[in-house]
Amino acid sequence: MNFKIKILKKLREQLALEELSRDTYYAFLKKIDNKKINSDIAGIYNQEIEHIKIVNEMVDILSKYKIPIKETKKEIKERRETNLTLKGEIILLLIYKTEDYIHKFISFLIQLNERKMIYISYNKIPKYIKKVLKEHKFDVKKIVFINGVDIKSDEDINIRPEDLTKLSIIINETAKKLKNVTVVVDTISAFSTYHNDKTICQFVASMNDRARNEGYGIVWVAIDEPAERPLNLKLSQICDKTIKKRDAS
Amino acid sequence: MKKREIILLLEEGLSIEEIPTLTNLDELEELIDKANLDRITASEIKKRVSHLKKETINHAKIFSKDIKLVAKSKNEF
Repeated sequence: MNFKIKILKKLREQLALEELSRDTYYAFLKKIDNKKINSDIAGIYNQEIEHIKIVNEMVDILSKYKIPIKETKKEIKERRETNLTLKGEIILLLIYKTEDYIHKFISFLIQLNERKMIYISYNKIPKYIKKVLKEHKFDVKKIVFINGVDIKSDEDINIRPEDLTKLSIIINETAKKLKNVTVVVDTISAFSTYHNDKTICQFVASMNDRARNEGYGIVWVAIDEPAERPLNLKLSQICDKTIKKRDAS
Repeated sequence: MKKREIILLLEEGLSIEEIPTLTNLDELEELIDKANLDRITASEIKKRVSHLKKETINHAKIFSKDIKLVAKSKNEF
């Protein structure tokens, strides 16, 4: 498949995503009755309509492109492999910039493809990350998903996001059962929705101690936002290794 | 509508923006970099992708902020 076809395919996928967003947020506006939230969603909804136009413009530009598009002789070098030596026992804090987070985090997860994993999706619905991982040929059967969003899913372990005690018990019990597992927490920054920094640090420190005792690894994913920096600093002091920003690629 | 129900909707929004949409835009950007498009066409497409990425990241930030706002609010909505 040449690049023109590949790009057009991606653009069609983008169009479908923008349309999904538009329809989803339209439904939100019908359901939510709060001035501030509705104003935010209305702004996003309007931008989604604009995005659909922009994607259609791109399809148009590329469709009119007459000169055959050839692949470059040399493929751009594959993403630099991280030199992370992720052994079972490591406690790692990965801090991403907001704009890099998903892209680099998915690349990071793909490197863990051969490992057994417990994935804690704290404020995002697991079905989306599963879909992306499947598209990257990731064997999602090797992953136990813990769903920290209060929408129950039959495929996953469900917990209420406020209940850190239950979360800690579930992680430990599951890690003991699976053995040689890596626990990935996406994201520890989202915990601040329900808990203060002190509680989060206590939770992380306690989980790290248990992981070291039981011999499993934990990857705490954090976002590099000004409001999150004090927490990230404290967390970096209780993890074995911290990888920040672009270093995490 | 209860706070929890609003948070669930906002989390759905955050999920859509952060995962499939941003990932697809990143992959699109990579493909454009790899293709031998002429400079003008590549630039026309890349500036649009860059605009979409910027706004998508901003949408995710808005959803994230609103989740915290609703969660921390003492009142029902």
